[in-house]
Amino acid sequence: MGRKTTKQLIAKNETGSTTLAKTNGCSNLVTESQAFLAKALVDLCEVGIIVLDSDERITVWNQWIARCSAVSQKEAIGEQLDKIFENITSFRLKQAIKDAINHGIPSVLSQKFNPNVLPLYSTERDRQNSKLMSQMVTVKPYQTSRKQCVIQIIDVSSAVTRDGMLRSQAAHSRQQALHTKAILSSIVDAVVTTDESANIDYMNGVAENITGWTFEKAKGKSLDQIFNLSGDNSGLSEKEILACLENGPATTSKGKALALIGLNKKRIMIEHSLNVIRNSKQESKGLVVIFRDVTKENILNEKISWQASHDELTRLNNRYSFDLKLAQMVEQATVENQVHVLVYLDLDQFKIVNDTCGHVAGDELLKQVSDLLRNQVRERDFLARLGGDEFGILFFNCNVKSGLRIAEKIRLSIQDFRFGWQDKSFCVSASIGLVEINQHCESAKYVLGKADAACYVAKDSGRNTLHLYQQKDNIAAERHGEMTWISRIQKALDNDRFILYAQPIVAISGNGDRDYFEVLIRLVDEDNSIIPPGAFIPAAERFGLIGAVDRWVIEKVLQTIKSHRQFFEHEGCQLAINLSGTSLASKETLNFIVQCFKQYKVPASMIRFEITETAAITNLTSANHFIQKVKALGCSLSLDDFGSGLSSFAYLKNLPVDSLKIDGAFVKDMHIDPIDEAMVSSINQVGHVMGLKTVAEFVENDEIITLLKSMGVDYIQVMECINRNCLSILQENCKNTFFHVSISAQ
Amino acid sequence: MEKLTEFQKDAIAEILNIGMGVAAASLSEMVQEPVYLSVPAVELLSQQKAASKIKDIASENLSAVIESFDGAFSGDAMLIFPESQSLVLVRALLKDEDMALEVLSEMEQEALIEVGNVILNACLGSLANIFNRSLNYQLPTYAQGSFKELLSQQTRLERESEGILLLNMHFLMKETNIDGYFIILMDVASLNELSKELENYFGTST
Repeated sequence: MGRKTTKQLIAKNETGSTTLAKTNGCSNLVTESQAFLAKALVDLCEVGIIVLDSDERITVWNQWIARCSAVSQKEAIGEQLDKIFENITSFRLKQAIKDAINHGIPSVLSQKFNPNVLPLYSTERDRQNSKLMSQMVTVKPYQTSRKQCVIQIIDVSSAVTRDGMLRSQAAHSRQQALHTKAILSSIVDAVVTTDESANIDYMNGVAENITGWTFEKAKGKSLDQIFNLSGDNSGLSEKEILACLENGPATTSKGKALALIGLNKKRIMIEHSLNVIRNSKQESKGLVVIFRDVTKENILNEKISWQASHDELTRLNNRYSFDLKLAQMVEQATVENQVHVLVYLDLDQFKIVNDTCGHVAGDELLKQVSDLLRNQVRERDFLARLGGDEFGILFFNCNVKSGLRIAEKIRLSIQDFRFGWQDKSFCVSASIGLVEINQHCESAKYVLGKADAACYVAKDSGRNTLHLYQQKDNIAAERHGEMTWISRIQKALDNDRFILYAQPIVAISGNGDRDYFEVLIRLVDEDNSIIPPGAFIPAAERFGLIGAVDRWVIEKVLQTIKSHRQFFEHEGCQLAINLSGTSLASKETLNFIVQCFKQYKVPASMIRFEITETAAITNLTSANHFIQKVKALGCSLSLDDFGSGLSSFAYLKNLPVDSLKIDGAFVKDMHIDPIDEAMVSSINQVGHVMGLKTVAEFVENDEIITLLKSMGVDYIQVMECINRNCLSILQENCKNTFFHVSISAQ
Repeated sequence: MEKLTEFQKDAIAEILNIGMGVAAASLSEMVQEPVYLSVPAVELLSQQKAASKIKDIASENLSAVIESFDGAFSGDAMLIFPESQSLVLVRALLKDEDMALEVLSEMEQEALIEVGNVILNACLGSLANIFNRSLNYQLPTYAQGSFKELLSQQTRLERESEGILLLNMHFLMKETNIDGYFIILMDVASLNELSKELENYFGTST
């Protein structure tokens, strides 16, 4: 078919003519219906279809193109494209048409490179607004007997709009991503995110630094591989990660640092939080882990926590942690019916060391004793310094019997310990109170009070002693609070509520020495109970009331002698008064003594003063002065508790005393402890060489008396708990009198 | 597999270079900027060898514009780029510096089809011109996938022994330098036909 025929066919179709069918017979009928169908289809297409003949004249111009170009088929058919559209600038279209017609090559003209190939408008409105249609054009060869081409134009305006939206959304989300990235890379915390399979899809710089992984290397790897927490603390396991992905509860290690093992095997302490990332449907889409390096804080925290619970000097637990532990054990005892033991330990000689050698020596003593104690307790026991020279030990799951055995072992090890400082050596001992922690214990405070009371009783019964708490100790304990002592002592001074006891010091040498009595002070409390001096003298010393107490005793003794002059003169005995270190250094006391002798007209020879070795050495110059003055008056002088502190005889030469009282700590076990025996023996010998009388304190049994006699010790001072047998022996040796003289103020 | 002589391969390279010149001229005019295209050498390879030859990109996701042709000789002409490179290429040509999208959008795929179409038309056109034989071309299509996947889409190559004409090509414009591959897949009959045509045109060349 020639061009003309085609044009005729199509032109006729436009007018609805069917004349061709009539002239061409049956076969033409088929052709005609096919031609109609083709025309209809071409017109129905929602794309533009133009067919060009070999001379580039339009042979088909469908309704779509007619509508969008506003050029009717009638106007278009037979014309060339550049006649219809005067301003076709697209060289690509011309080239494509030529390629198709001349070489049979098809072409695609994309919207991107050729936005508006033809001046077409999607709608009338667009035309009015001069908004050209975005087009995608294909040019295909169509070869029959002639070379033709089909131009197909597709309206891609909506695709362009979609593309634009996509781009602006992408640009927006990219902007947001940059924004987020900037935030994440500038915050101080490490951030790692994963996809829904827990594989890394983001990590910031801080996370790279902490883990040692670069994002490039870590990308796609599983979270537990990068976020590698050391096995010893059940940190972020695969299980936890998966659980978080599935159920999504956020987990955090805040407050509990975990060790992260970096790529370089370095351990870094971190705190982390793990959370799930959800989409708008609440489906989990990944994880976010935020963590930070708390290594420094952790060290600091550990240090602070250590400091809070430990004593810096001895490196033992401190009072605070002891109280916590005790409370915990009391709780266990009451709830789980367990039995534990609390040991309260007080060093007997700490004050001596501290006062004579200074705080540095005192500190060193505490350190060494701490080490000693540390070696004596079991791993599970709890050892603490409770303050000053007081220690507490908690024996876990331990009955009283075992507790006593261990505490005794501790007492002995401290007793055997010698503390060396410069050229001096000190004996050390401890007074130990022990109490059972059982289901009947009310509270930690209650238990500690009992232990304290037991320790106090141990101290009061001559130091270097172990005492198991008994109910009656409570009374002592109740009065033990030092602070209350100030007012109680003051009241006692004001209201004369002290009484004096006398304890005999018995001559055993058989060379005509006469017995004498040591005057001991007791406080009569408001309920008329008698308080021993160990309970209030330390408080009186600490709060500066000791001078007044001393003066009260001196005056009271002289007053008593004056009022029972006949009795005392008949017995011809001396009374020994204890003086504190404070009084030794006090001119006021010395003047007071002189004044009292004048006032009561008591012969000075009837009075003996006892000063402790420690007090004398601590105030050596003033002690010397004092001793010389009272000796000049005619009084005798004893050095008390000799050997308890500095076992240095060098001082003795400088102290013009008359007698030495050997510290009871050596005496009470001398029959079983050869070292103690040797100590007593050597002190006795040196004393004798220097022309001093010797006195043994704390004599408890016959065995000791026999030993002392064989050594040639001059006097013994018995404990009140002396047994009957012992008493009879003493009576034989002291035909004079042996009785307790109670000289009451009342 | 039939072999092409070195001379024949050089001849094909030369013919295709002419086509590339035409294509470059068209592209330059399209983008209003000089674009250079070059074909260094032609190789006739088995599929496997072709795959190993381009192994530097074979494992990557590729973008391809494919245009089938038949007539005197038939085959599939493919222009292949790594997907990331196709992105760079299209945006360089479009002078679109906003790389907001990480994949080719629908419109950009069409743009790439046009670029491929220009090149393939020019090259196939120059082959057809030289031999004065007419070919029928299909409209180009866009495809994505690994090299293997791209090949498997071309049903024409049913047996592995059938050959591939592989051309490495360079795109060069301004600061953008992109390597791509121009591949023509041909069955044995078509290769023989091509060989014959080359012989007819240039004479026997041994």
